[in-house]
Amino acid sequence: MSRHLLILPAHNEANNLPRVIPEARAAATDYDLVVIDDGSRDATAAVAASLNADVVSLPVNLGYGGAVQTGFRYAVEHGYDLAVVMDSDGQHDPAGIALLAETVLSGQADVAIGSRFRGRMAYHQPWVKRVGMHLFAWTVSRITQREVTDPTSGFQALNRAALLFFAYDNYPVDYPDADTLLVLHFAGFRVVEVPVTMRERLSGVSMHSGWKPFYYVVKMWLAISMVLLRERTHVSARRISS
Amino acid sequence: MMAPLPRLLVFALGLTVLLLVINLVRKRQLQERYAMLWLLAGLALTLAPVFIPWLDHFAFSIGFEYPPALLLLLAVVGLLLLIFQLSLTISRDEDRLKILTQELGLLRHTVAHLQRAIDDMNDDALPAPAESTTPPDHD
Repeated sequence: MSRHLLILPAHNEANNLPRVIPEARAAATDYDLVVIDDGSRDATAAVAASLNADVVSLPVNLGYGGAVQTGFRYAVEHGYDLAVVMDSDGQHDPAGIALLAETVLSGQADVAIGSRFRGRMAYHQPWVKRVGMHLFAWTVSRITQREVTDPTSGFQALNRAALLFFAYDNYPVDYPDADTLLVLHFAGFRVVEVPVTMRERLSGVSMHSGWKPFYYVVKMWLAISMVLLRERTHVSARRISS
Repeated sequence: MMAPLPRLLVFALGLTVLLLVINLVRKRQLQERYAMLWLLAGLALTLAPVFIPWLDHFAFSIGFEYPPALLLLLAVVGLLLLIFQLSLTISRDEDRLKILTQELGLLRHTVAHLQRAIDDMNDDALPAPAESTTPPDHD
């Protein structure tokens, strides 16, 4: 019997969880659910607990990547075979969970990524960031020889090998992005995109707001260059054998 | 050539830095490995009045038209090295902090689970005899 985990990283999402958790449960009936409360200052942990969710509360705010990685460690340490990561602000339509999981469980991929550009798109972003994202997606597609349209998507399903790879290393603290996909590719993991629907967040402040899009583009460019350099100098990430 | 008063001031400043750093290390508020660079800086300031004339000569000989520029250059390079070392330390510490935070969150979750299991067991079990002869089971 294969065990599945739904990971919901949450930072100040007390207002959204009462809608997101039941919706996710309805869409993923045979999944255990864990909320990673990333040092929230509101009642996120209490709300999640009152909805009977397992809650891992981080004493300080680590950032999105750090919270998701905590979920990966939880999944590895509790022996799950598959984990799906989903935003807890309502942006990810849980209807996508089934297709993501199926793509991994059928052995087509080690990591399945929900792409808003393949699926239905209901979403706004600053143009600089949009252009940057397309450029990075194109770069990753060229290098991996696989079409990538949405490298920033946090709606993902991972098998145990990929979970192990990310649980203790190789995962950025801030935001997994195009560079993370390249690391996966170089380590020999198969990454496949599937179409999903993303919506505007229900309430609260998005983690991308206030972000300088220019800063994002330059940082991402540096991160991608570094992954390529590491690969060339043979200090790139390697799989953990288990 | 430096006038006597500035010399005295630089000397006093160097001495103050040295005393401050030594005192902080003594009180264990500053670790030895970070103190070394500051001690070096304090020592350089203290000895500056002695070797500044010599430094002026050296600056002229390698083509500096304004000798204090060499001193400033050395100071800036020294400070950059210090800041660079701090950046390295911050990066490493953030990495460690992240791991500790994650471990702490996961452990708290496990402890809460265990606590609940113990509470359930205590609720279900009959009052235990005051002196039990069998040791408690450990998984």
